[in-house]
Parts: sequence; C-alpha cells; structure tokens
Amino acid sequence: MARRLSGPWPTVVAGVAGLGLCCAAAATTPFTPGAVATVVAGYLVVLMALPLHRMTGAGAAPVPETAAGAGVTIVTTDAGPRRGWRWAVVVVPPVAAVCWELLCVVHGDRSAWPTLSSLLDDVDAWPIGRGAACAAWLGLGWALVTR
Amino acid sequence: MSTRDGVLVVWVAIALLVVAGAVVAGRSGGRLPGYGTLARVATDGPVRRTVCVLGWMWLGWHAFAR
Repeated sequence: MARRLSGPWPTVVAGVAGLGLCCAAAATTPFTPGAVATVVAGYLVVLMALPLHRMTGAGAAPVPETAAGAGVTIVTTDAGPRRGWRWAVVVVPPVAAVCWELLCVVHGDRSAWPTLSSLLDDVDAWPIGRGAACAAWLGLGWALVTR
Repeated sequence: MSTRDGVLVVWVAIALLVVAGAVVAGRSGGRLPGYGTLARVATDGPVRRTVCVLGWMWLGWHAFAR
C-alpha cells in the first residue's frame, strides 16, 4: 500500500525546486549544456509531481454521487450547450494563432515575419524574461500532470 | 509601417482575441465553454494527456535548450 504524505511540504519542496529552476534558466544560455540540464531537471520536477500528487491524496479519483438506494450513478456534466459552434469562442483564437504561425514560418524571414518562437527569443534574451518564461512553462506542466 | 510591424499587429490582435474568448466564455454564465473546459477535453484520458505532456516537453526544449 502506498504511503500517504500529508502537510504542505511536498508543495513547498516542489515550489522551491521550481524557483531554483527558474533562477537556473535565467542564468543559462540556449545551446549550452546548462540550458539542456535545466530543461531536463524541469522534466523531472514536473513528472515527479504525478506520484507526489497521488501520495498526498490530492489526485485521488472523485467518488461518483449515487442516488441512495436506487443504484443510479449521477454523472455531472457541463451545464453549457452542446452544439459545436459554441466552442468557436475558445477554438478560433488558438486556430488563428496556429494559422498565422504557419504563415510566418512559410515566409521564412524571421526579422520581417516573426514567429512566436522568435518573439519568445526576444523575451529569452533578458534573464528575468527567461526566468518568467521558465516559471510559466513549469506551471503549465504542473497543471497538465496534476489536473 | 513595415512588414514586421504589420505582423506584430496581427499577433497582438490574436492575443486580444484569446483574452476576449476567455472574457466572453467567463461572462456567459456557463453557457459557453471556456479555456478550462477546452483544456479538460484536451487532457481527458491517458493518450490525450500523454500527447499534451510530450508537447509540453517539446515546448520547454524548444524555448530553453534547442
């Protein structure tokens, strides 16, 4: 049986590790072993989050509500409408971004047609920007793994 | 206005569209799915989640290590 961890310390440890990684990322330059090591450490921190999340009990599967005595499982669904066009509000902007990114990639000239990557390079050129981008990346990974 | 300026204007417009999508979905009172719902659908199940995590790993490599 897996031992359950309690208290806030797993989150604190993960937060300190993440902060350390952001500082390391701010101090590194792309195409260097230090940058590669920082990214690999980021993989390890976030992928370790899954077992940690389960050991703390936060990742336990929710128990479905059942109607007492009826043996009927109540499945909670989104209250929103089901028609596909209503997804346009959140699907169109990312699709537009992907299309524009592809158009910029096809043009090839990064100075005239900057892609998201080249825009991120401008942010990464600044240590604080690189640290902030690393924090956003780690947060996204953490959310992906633990949700 | 240079080509670069025009391209940047489109990027800003897309960013505003993303924010507007979140605001509209948030103010719909649950009638319209938001980015949270989209993320939940995108990561629903082990295969989709694995694909998303691999995409996240590529993103970090691309942004910080190359």
